[in-house]
Amino acid sequence: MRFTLALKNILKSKGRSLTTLLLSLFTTTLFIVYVAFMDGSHHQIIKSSVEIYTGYAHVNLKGYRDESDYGNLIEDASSIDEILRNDTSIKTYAPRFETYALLSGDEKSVGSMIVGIIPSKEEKLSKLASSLSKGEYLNDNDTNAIYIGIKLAERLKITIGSQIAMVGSSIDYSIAADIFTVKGIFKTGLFDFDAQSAFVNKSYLDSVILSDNKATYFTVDFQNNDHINKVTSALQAKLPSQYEAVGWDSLLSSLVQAMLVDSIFGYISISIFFLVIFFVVMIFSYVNIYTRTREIGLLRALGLTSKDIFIILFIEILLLATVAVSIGAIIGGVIAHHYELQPIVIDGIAEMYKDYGLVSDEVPMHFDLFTITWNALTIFILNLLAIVYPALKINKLTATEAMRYV
Amino acid sequence: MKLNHITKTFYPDSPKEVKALTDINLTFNKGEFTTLSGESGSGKTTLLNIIGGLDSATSGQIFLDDEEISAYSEKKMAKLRLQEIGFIFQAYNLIHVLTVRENIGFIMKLLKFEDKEIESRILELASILQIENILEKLPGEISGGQQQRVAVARAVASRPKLILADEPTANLDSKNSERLMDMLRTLNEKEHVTVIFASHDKYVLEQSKRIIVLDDGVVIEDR
Repeated sequence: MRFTLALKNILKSKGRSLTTLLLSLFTTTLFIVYVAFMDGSHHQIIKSSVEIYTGYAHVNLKGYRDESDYGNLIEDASSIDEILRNDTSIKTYAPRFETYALLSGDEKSVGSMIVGIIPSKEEKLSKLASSLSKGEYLNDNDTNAIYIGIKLAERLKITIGSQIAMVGSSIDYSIAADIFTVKGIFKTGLFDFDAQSAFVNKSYLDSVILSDNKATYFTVDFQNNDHINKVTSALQAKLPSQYEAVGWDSLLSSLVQAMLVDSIFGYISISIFFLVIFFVVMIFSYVNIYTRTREIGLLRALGLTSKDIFIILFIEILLLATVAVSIGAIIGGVIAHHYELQPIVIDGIAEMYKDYGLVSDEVPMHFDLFTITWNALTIFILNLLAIVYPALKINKLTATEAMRYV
Repeated sequence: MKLNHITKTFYPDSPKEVKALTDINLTFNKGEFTTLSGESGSGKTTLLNIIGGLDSATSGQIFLDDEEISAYSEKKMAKLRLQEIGFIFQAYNLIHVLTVRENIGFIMKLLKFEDKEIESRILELASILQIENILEKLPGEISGGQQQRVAVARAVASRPKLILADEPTANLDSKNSERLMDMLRTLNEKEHVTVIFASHDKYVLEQSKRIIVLDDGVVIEDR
């Protein structure tokens, strides 16, 4: 009978029920969309950084992350190459040799990172080739051709066909120098990367700095990069003990930290949002319940206990919240999914967040069923909690007090 | 039912203090048809509410079948009201979201009567009270007289030992008042239900077997 009464209360008091329903539905949708947007922007930043150049995992000598110098090179790159080639969990991989050198154009000199790459392999691993802005991307037969970032080109005041001098250090710490011709200019959108990086064919760089069969690290793309810690641990087990496999979250730890800080501010906003939702729903429930004081007094007079009244009110909010949160979650999920596939474009956001690695004005939302579920459950629980105080308060009135209530 | 030295004071120890009842001592026997009478503010509704456990006395004791019910917890008192007492209110107080049928069967449902028994009792009462044709209507769709008959049906449906009726004829015309009193008298005689009214309606007083007159919270006459 309590359930029937609760159900009838909902169905017969359409205005009150509809307002409660819409309030919960709207907050659920808003919350899911807000979190999807926040997560989406974080995913976008991390994805950009990982896919443009860094890669999902690196294999390097232990100690290389702490001291990235010639003392921590992979000395026998072919042996690592063989291990990676035979690992079926790996989709593709490539060795890189990162060094630092002085690049000089006709007018200016700039210190920059020079990376030896295998152009054909790198094309499958990173977005270097697709980031071409002017000229051409490298090929495996290139010798003294160089592919440089657009900001670096601007700093050196050079363009396609210009010649630049490189002065650096061989791995035996002798001076290594050569002249390169600018073959291509790339623009990834990663501000620092575009301003400091230049790429040459690894086989040619090896001959310049004497790094044949050596690499600073291998970058690896797995068949499935979703559980990076799991796959890197599996790879680690196959490597000789002096090497380590490191996932993107460790490689980009400063970026991950920045995202974490941003998330903390996001969650502070969410907490305020929660509080607002909680009090709005509670005040609304309070008003709703108090408009029914006489009715509740009558039920008490007829023999229902305060527990029965609480159960009736609880069933009402349970039914309404279930319907509202379910619909809200579906709407929120559909919006998140839609804007994941067709991202929102916010003009100027890439410029504003360039230091964080946001490379596009498109900000996709992140559709994730687990996140949507906990978002919806949170609002659902808040709805249930919000009626506790009003219900307890009204139950303090005696039946006669409640029936006299105007 | 026995009332011993019942006193009720509203807002005690405050400037607004009102003594609603003073030292009430009464006994009600099974099957009585009694009216608590008196002017407005004499304390008859307060006394009725205390008898029904809707309000508590400031001091004194109430016994039902030799058991002190004035010491009952809220939960136990609610159970007693549900099982033993039927209420008829001046303002009908039907549950507006339930149909007439559901209102009549409401207490029986709470007491977990069999559905068949509930349905048969609803039909029986609907026939006695001549409300068979409005069983599927909501309270808002029927007249005041009909609502009061539904309230009577609800009050007696579970066969309580005691029916408490607060000014049941106050909102009824003379024809409906007569009909209501006839019904309650019939139920009193046929089902031996004890009925206590709080009323100053002449017609109710004429129909009552016993009249208790209150004045300023004190029993001044019991005949």
